[in-house]
Amino acid sequence: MADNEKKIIIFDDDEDILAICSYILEEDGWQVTAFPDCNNLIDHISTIKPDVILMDNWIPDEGGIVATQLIKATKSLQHIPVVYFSANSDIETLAATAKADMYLPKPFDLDKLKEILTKALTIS
Amino acid sequence: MINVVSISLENEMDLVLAHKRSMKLAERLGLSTATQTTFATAVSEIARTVIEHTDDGILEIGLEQNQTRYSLMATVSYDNSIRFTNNDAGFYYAQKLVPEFDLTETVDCNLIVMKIGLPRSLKLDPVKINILKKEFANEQPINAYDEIKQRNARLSQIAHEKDEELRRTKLVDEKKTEFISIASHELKTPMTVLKAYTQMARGTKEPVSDQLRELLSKIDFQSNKLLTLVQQLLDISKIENGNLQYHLQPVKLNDFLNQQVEVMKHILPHHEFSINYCNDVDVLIDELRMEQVLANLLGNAGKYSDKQTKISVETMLSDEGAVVVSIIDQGRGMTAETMTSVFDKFYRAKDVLKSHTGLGMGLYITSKIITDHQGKIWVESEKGVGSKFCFSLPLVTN
Repeated sequence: MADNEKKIIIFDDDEDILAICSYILEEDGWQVTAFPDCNNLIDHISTIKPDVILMDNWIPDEGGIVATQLIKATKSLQHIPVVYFSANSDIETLAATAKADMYLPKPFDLDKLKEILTKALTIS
Repeated sequence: MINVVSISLENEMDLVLAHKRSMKLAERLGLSTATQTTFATAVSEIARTVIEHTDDGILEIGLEQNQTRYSLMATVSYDNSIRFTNNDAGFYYAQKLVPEFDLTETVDCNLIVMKIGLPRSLKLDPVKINILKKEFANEQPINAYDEIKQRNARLSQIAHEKDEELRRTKLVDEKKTEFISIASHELKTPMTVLKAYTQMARGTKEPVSDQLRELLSKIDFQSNKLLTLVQQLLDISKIENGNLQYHLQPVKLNDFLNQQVEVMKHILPHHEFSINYCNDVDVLIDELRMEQVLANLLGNAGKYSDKQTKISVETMLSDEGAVVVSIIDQGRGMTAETMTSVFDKFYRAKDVLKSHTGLGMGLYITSKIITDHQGKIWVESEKGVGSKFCFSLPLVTN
């Protein structure tokens, strides 16, 4: 794969969501890596060096808030934009607590998904 | 102990009650006058000693069964920091009066127990004791003080029950709101998947027959409808929690309304829309929430009117520094009765219960959003002619 290909990591424990996002984003030219939990996430992110991270609120084991805070507290990774997504109605507050850069409420429109990730690329 | 009488020992006036009630119980049991007096004196001596030291002592008088025999018994409990010695005259004297006298000092409280064994000849049995208990429970107050005391006790019991009821209602309410919130979250996750797969199927590059395309668009339409319902449930739970938050921004009203009408034209393609605005004004609104209001009011206008009829949107400046937005349809209209309740939570008019689906949440949420914007909402309607929903919004003043 070419080095200039845009890369994304998705953290979500719902297989269908992972499948859908992977399908849609790969079609849109993304190189997608998906994880059903956030164990060893610093290692994963450091190896893959994604351009954007899509983080679910309800992710085993620690949850999206702790995971995102961890990313944002790691010097080498904190510049990577994190898009927080959740079906929780307080997503805005959750995203702010997690220190995520953007958020996307579930259920989302597939075009909205592409749109917000493209936007995230511009801030990375 | 089978408790018959209970008296809180707060002040000297309770001594009178303690003495009279002890006498009365001993008398009702059929004891001799001498024994009645002995028992009552012992009880009041201890009560007096306790009252001298504290105001939270409790006297209880009743019966204790010991195999086939009964004893007349009185207990006085009081703060464990208070220690009686034989220098306390009453304490010393009472011990001489009753055959059984016992003082236990525990970490919780100190307890004095006095007993007089009752002769078998009194022929006590559970039935008699129950009658006695009832008699004392319903006894008229001995004096004015007793009356006030009884009334106070009743009042504080009622207050306690009310508190408990309130606490329970609040708990049930919280649980309900929490349930709605969790349920709608859980519903949203499969909705996300359903919607996305539908969208993927509709967007596939593989050949799709017209019939399948039609089916997919119906699935998409229905899942959007389901989503709106879930969102409304969530909004209701937020309203109940007082968590509905607004991001207010100044917005040009006419532009905003135009956008909403354009969106609704796609959703209601068989209706004719007409607009008639006054000069453009700035209003302070949360755009997303106000979109919800317009979608609800315009959606209702379409839902309750026939195809090919007109839906008008008008604005007008009011005298009170507000702008009034009206949504007018040529639909079925409503009765006066419906008009009074149409903004109530879960209200559904009888005449549309079967013909039109819904949960009665839309207008409730809409009215809440409008009042939260310091606006007013009302309806004018005539059965068979149409309805006019109006809401006002305060103007942004510079």
